[in-house]
Amino acid sequence: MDEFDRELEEAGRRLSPDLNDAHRATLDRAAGASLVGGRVSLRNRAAAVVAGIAVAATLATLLTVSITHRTGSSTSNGASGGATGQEAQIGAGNGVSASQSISNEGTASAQGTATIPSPSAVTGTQAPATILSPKSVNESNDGANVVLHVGQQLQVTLSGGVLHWSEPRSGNGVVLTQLSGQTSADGGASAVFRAASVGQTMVFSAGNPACAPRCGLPSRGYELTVTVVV
Amino acid sequence: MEYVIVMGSSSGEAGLAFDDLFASAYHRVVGAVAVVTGDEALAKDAAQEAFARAHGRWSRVGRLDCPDLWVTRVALRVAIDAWRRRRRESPLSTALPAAVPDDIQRLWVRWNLAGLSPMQRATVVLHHSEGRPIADIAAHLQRSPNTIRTHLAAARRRLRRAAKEED
Repeated sequence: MDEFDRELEEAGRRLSPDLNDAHRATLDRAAGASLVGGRVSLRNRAAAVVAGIAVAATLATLLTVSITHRTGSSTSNGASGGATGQEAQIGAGNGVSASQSISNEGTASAQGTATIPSPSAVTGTQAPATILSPKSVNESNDGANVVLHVGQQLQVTLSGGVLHWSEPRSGNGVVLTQLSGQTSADGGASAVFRAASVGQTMVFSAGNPACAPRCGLPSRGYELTVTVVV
Repeated sequence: MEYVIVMGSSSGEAGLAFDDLFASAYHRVVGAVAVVTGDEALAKDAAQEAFARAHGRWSRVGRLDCPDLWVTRVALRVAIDAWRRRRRESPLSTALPAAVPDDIQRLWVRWNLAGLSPMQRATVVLHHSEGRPIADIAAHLQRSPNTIRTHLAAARRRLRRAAKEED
């Protein structure tokens, strides 16, 4: 490195001394670009395919739940505050079927603690977990497909600690409008969204280790695929 | 859902990891853009934008011989595009930013860059610091090779004049 380069580096170091902050901001920006940018990575294309399958599965699930309600085979016990799980066969587009426990909106407890299956258990060719009308989700729901009705609100809460989360963002404000959002000093982040119109979008947050980039710990992306139905 | 970088693991089969590049080159990229534009905020913004683009194309950028040069060129182009946009939107703001950081002013004086336009400074930085051929610089700055030669000639004239004055 010649003298000019050295001086450029020293000037840059004085102008932007906090490398960790800059690294975090850069990764946030990269994560945002991958959501809204015109270029779609292979990973995102794969995610889009999975999301498409999930939408089909979701519609099938909605149909199943609707039929079940009409035939009166389901009992809603919202008054007792319990959550009743319903088993639904979700047929994926590739022929793989997954049996998942899905909580019905009407059976969530008064505190809004709907039963949410953990997507972390979903691996391989299985479709991601589908969550119907949840009031809130957290980091354990990473990768899930969330189905909301127009007008419903969704709170996303990510706990800080090792990772510093960016404010969760909606990929499409027309479909899912962000009502509020914040990050906290301990690295946590939360946001409240409202399902505004029928469509599909994603909610994304980037979790970067507080010690990055020097410690070499990996960053994480948090993604929800949100489908808004009537 | 991990989408980036464990040290040494996100670079694919060859090259270095994104984090390594960031740690080793970020400050120099910020410095280069700041020297060109004289604008501290724009320098940070353009550098982060360039690194974010590199991150998005890391499977390709990470295999380049000198990915830091790729990032520097992208950052300079981002900064100059922003500068041009600003000039179109508000012609009165073509003057230098109100407060050029002292560190940058010192570099301008030391390397005789003070009287040059941002385009001329970008040309000097790319050509002299990074040894890019004129055709490359022209492509990256979206100018004709002749324009780049003119910028370089103007910069050299200034350097010669400054050298004579020092003698």
